[in-house]
Amino acid sequence: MKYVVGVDIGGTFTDLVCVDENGETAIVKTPSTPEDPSIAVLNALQRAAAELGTTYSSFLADITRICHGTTVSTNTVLTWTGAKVGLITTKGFRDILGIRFGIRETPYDYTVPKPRSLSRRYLRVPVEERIKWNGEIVVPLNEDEVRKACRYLKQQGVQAVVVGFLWSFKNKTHENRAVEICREELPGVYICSSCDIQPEIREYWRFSTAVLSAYVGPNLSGYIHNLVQSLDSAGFRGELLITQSNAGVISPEIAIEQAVRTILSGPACGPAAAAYLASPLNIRNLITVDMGGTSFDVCLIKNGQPATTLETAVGGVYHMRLPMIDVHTIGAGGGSIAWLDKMNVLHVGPKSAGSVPGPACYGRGGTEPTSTDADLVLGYINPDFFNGGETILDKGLAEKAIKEHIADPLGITVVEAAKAIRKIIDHNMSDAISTVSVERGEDPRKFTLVAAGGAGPVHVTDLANKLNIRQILISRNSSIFCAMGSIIADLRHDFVTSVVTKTSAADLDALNKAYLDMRAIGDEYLSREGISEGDRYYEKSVDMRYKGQFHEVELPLPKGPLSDAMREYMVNEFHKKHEELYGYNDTVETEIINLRRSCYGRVVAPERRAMPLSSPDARKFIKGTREVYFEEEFGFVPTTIFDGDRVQPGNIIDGPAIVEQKTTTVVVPPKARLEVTSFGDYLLRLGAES
Amino acid sequence: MTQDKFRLKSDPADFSILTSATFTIAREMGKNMERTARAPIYFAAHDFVTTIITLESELLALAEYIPVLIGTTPFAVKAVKSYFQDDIHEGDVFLCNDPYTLDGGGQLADWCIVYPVFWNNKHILWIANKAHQQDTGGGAPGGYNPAAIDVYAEGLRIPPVRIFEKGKERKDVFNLIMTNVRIPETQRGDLLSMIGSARIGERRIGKLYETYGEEKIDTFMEDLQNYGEFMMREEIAKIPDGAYHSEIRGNDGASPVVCDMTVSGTDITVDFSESGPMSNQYINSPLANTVSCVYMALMTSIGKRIQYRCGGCYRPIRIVTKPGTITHAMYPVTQGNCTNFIAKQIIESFWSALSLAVPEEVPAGWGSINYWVFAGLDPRRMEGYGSPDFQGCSSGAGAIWGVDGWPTNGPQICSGTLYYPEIEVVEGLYPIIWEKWEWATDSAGAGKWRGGFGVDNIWVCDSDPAPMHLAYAADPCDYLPAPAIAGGKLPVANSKSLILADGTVETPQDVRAKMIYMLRTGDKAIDVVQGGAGVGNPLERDVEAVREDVRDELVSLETARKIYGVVIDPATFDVDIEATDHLRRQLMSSELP
Repeated sequence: MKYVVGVDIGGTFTDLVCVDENGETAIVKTPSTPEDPSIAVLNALQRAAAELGTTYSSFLADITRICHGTTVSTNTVLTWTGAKVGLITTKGFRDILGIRFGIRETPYDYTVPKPRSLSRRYLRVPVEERIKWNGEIVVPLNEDEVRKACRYLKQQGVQAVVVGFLWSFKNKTHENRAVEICREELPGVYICSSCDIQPEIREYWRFSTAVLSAYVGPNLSGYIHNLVQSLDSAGFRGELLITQSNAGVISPEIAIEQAVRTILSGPACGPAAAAYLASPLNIRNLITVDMGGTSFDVCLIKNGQPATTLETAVGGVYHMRLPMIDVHTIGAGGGSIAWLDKMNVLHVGPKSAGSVPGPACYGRGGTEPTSTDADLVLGYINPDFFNGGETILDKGLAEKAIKEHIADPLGITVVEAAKAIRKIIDHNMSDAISTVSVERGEDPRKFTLVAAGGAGPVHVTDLANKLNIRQILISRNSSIFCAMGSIIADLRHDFVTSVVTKTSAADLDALNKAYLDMRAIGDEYLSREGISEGDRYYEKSVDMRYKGQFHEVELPLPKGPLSDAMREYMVNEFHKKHEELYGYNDTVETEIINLRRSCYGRVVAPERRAMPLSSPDARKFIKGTREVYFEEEFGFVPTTIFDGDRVQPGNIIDGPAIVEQKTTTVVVPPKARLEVTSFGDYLLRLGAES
Repeated sequence: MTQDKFRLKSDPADFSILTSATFTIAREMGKNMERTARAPIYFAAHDFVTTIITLESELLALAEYIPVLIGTTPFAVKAVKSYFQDDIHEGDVFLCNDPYTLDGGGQLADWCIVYPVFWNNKHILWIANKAHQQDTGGGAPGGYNPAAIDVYAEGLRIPPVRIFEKGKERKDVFNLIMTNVRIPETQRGDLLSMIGSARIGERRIGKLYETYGEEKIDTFMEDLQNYGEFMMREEIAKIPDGAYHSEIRGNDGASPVVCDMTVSGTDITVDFSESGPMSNQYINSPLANTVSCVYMALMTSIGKRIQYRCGGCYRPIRIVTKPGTITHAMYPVTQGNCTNFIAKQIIESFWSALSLAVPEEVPAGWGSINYWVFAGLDPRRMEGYGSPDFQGCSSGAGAIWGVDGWPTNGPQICSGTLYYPEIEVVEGLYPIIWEKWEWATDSAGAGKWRGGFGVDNIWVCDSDPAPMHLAYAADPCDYLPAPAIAGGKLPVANSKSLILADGTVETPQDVRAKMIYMLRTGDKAIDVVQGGAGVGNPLERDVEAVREDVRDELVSLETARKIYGVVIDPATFDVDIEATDHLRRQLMSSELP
């Protein structure tokens, strides 16, 4: 038997999904091991082998591909444990990285210190060189100064060096030459230029993105080498692929060279998994929500395509510009703490009790009430079957925490306080859904909600009700969504070329050449990754704007070289898209700013097998009943509990009901109907009469 | 002094949800304006606010893209109410900008649309969106006319007018206004964007009313204002009662800004009556601007931790001004630059007075911006251009107790909301080559917590064969940044000079006298932009922090020694601990009176 494995390292758990040739799926969750994350990966593999009833060595020998999502890069930034980075830059502009275009994230509170720079000023070395707006060299590169800079940085013990010059995307000569010199002078040091990563106009974004790459590169490289070695000595002979923030995968060597592309890869694969899950049901418009312990991630998928974005700030402050899946995150999760301010006004989150000490009901010393405590008090969660019974929850502790911190000071009952906590966190989450839909011109009612994460299915019906969404899809494996998404992801490499020209005056031959050049680099990467020509495919797009605007709109282009007909098509499509996004279009002339190209290598995604449908009757899977609170309309209702690990495709369950699985709890409110699909997933329709 | 315990009348969950929902609506209106407007000043400089205002003209919720405007929109609403009285109908939209009609405006170039929000045929709230316009008519393009002798020369005065009547555009009025500005097409678009965003706000507010009903929302609104008031009173209660006085002074021609603050229990009175007379520079502050500055000063000091800056927060504050002073401009005096230069001074006079009472709560003064406005014909495209030099606005922030000031964070009135365009962007837009834009060594005021650094900003004109028109736009009165707190130091002064291609040097004095230049290719502008002021005695600064600044070449070895009393080896950057102890003791004793 051959297997494809996806492993995703999360903050609390490392998830593994294993799919065999027949489409049979096994899943494993093991605690993460932050001191060396690869330990949890190996633990998970060992447990998977045990679960499949095979030996570790023969299991590893049978794995053809491991797709791996890692938080090493993200955590490196968030915990400031990255490399000591030197920046060799244009004389006179040493502080581009530090100035961060002048923005302060908290304009009223000056007590927040400035974020520390990922390359300190004494490690930012200016050298003589200057290129003009048109690519013309105004001051030639002073190579002696570059060598001196290298020696100085070596003395300072840097582990990585970035070369970032003004206008380098117009003329790469100086950056390339400086990188050559760095490689000669600094063997063993991680080196990249700003154009290696993202050759686009706007030096701050370019430098910041490259510095992030250098900052996380050495850590990621150490981690990957370590993992490759461990897997190798355990007998793994297949292919290891690393997930990126654009939801594509990439070979380990290229991941190290382009380390920044793995930052924020964590939540990126979830939406792809949702699209994959929904495609056999012919559902193409989805909003995915993933509620974990500390955060809530939302992403909008239209026509099967997850929304993408180009700009973000890692940890809220370190700017990065790369194509990535647009996952909107807020601080709302099962561990979100409910608290009263000094005016006795109730708030929930963003602070979280995490998994240690965790919610009060975990009995691990947490005393503050959390969202999970409220869910427990309201009957949504089974205290004896949390994580399949691995964690026994103490309802008394939950009640005590809510009583002491919320109910007593407000003079209300514990249940009333729990209801208030749930309402507030539900509001915060539905607000986040509005942000990615309503605020971007999309009507959420036209979408199906897809719930993931342990706590997602417990809250998703409330969210759907608030937004008038009628249909919800919940994966049987909703808690390991990202791992699932990684094994269906194709290899992907993104490239960009900045051009900045009026559309009407654009030199199409030059643009076509730029597209071909980008494709050539992509082909080089893909052949390094062993992808044959037949398994490659390409997409291209263009960033356009109205003359005088600051921000561009990305427009996908059809296949084939650019022609005058295509020029006209681009302008027309741009007007249309601008209207769609911003509610108006204009008669002003348009400009082309960037050309983008994505090069893909197809992987064989495991086939999902439809199972035969059994009868709708699910009564034999009833585990019991308990009182569950269903909003003001119903109050506490005796609710039937079904065993989610046993329900069969074709089963139909009418609300009020709860379906309990080891890894999650699905709430079916009154007037809703849940159907187990032929793939074993749950399709929930609200407002259906029972 | 303590207050009675605050009690919500609303259900606790309703209150939290409605509070967050109303601020979300204001934010969504702001986002919408940011995305749809055409003028760069909206999306780069973020020079606008979107606000929801109660029928009592009190701020309910807002999105503050630029902090200095946070208190001005209720003035516009009051002016509209007072002028139109009962004649306000569903679908009406009003516009005003004039500071001298019913105190309805701050700066003439900031136009405010006032939008009555109806639900079930009933007027329930107001939306007021204010944004700086690309042009406001008058004697100079762009709304800044240093040569103006009165407000008429500064721009079109718009008293409250109805621009939409019951949903129908009043074409004649629109036409009248657009005929009096220089870029009517884009400005009309911007005005429609302000109105469009109000319509979105109205729709969202209507949905809230549908979901919660009028009664719950009325209770919530009362609660929110009381909540804001109680939060602020809690903060004021911590300030020792007393009278605190400050004066902000500049060069010989500068009219001082004087702030007399009285704290009594949980109330503050701020009296600017002793300020100097109105100036012949265009920096006189109309009432709405002065009030708004006080609000910003309050929220960046003792109010900094208040999350929801609703109108209730300002109830404990009484503001007194004397008409005819620089802090209460009277018709028909000029006011075009009041949101820049005098605004900073009003804010800093408030901080200065308050710092005498609670030095640990108040920011030190920021560096003053120091820029040119350039204009001309770009030979690369044969198109006109004109813009302030944002790189010259990158002054440093003042320190605050416990935290160094942020570098390059100015202008102070934006408080870190202004995006500086990148060098590659400005070199693409204007025929200029930058030579240097880099933190300037020793440009910040020293302190136990030092100010943030300003920059050396040096650029060369590259517009051959066209000339470049250059206009001086730095503070005409050279007001000093303030306060420096608890022994902190002030930053070095701004300076501005030119070296022309033929070798002629225009000194800061020359530049100051001439104010206007025509540059040619090769002419070079050299600006030093000020950092912020410090907090606490520099001799108490953490030695390691001084060492780091020296190593980063932000503080010179000499300043480290003379001002911070830290002796550092120039080769190894090691601190000579013994020599430092000795020097610090010596400097400390020489400071004693």
